[in-house]
Amino acid sequence: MALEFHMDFMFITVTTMIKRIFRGVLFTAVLAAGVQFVHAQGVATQSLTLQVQPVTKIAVSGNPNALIITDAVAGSDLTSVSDNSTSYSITTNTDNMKIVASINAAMPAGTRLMLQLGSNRGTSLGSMDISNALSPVDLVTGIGKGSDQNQTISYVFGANADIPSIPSDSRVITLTLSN
Amino acid sequence: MNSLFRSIIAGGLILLGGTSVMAQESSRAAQVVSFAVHRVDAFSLQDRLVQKETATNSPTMKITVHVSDESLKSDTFIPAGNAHMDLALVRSRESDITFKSKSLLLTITD
Repeated sequence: MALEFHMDFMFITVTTMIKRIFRGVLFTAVLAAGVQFVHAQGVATQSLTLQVQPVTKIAVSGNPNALIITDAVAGSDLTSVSDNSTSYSITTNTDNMKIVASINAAMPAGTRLMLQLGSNRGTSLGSMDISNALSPVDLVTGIGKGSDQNQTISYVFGANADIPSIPSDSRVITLTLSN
Repeated sequence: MNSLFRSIIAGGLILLGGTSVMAQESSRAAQVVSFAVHRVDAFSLQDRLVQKETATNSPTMKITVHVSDESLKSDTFIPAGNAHMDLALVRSRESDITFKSKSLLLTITD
């Protein structure tokens, strides 16, 4: 009798343990599946398209000082005046660019307006006469990719000896960076 | 399905719009250049009046030669644009003056 009781007790105990183990395994499996599910939900992919387009920029530091002829050397033309107080900067990612200049109206007859641009990335053509540059005149050619900062803009204003006095006047000079 | 199609079209239009705004193959910058020419008179004497140079941008200028001999005093007017040519005449006349007089005072006035 005592043995049967003991066997029954052991049977119940083993059964209970198996059930517990089964529940534990089941719980772990469900938990793992849940984690897997949550983990699967945290993954996302994107297709990223990258592009650099042609970018060309030119800017000037401001307007030059007034160019006023006030003197002459006897026997020569009126003494030219110059201004180097302004500069330009460029950025381009295109090769073989150039800078051209144009004027909004021709200078008075007998006067000359010369313009020169410095350049580290291209070839400066030197001091160019833009007195009648209603059509653009090349100033810097062969500009390569990159940036060029604070390059000097030089103006020279000259006049023949027989030019009468001219009251203050102005012109708009446009610098264009293009290919 | 319609919603997806609309989204694709909208995305395409935005991409095209962005392209036209961003692509910059030329750029411009402008400066205002102010200028003026003032009244300019310059005059110099060298080598006993044989070499004289002048520059003026006034419409009418006069070089006055004062000499000790009143009989040789003269004025010469220089119209604008012919300063050098007219000065040659002054130079030749003053050469004679120099030859004959001991003191000269030349001024350039209008």
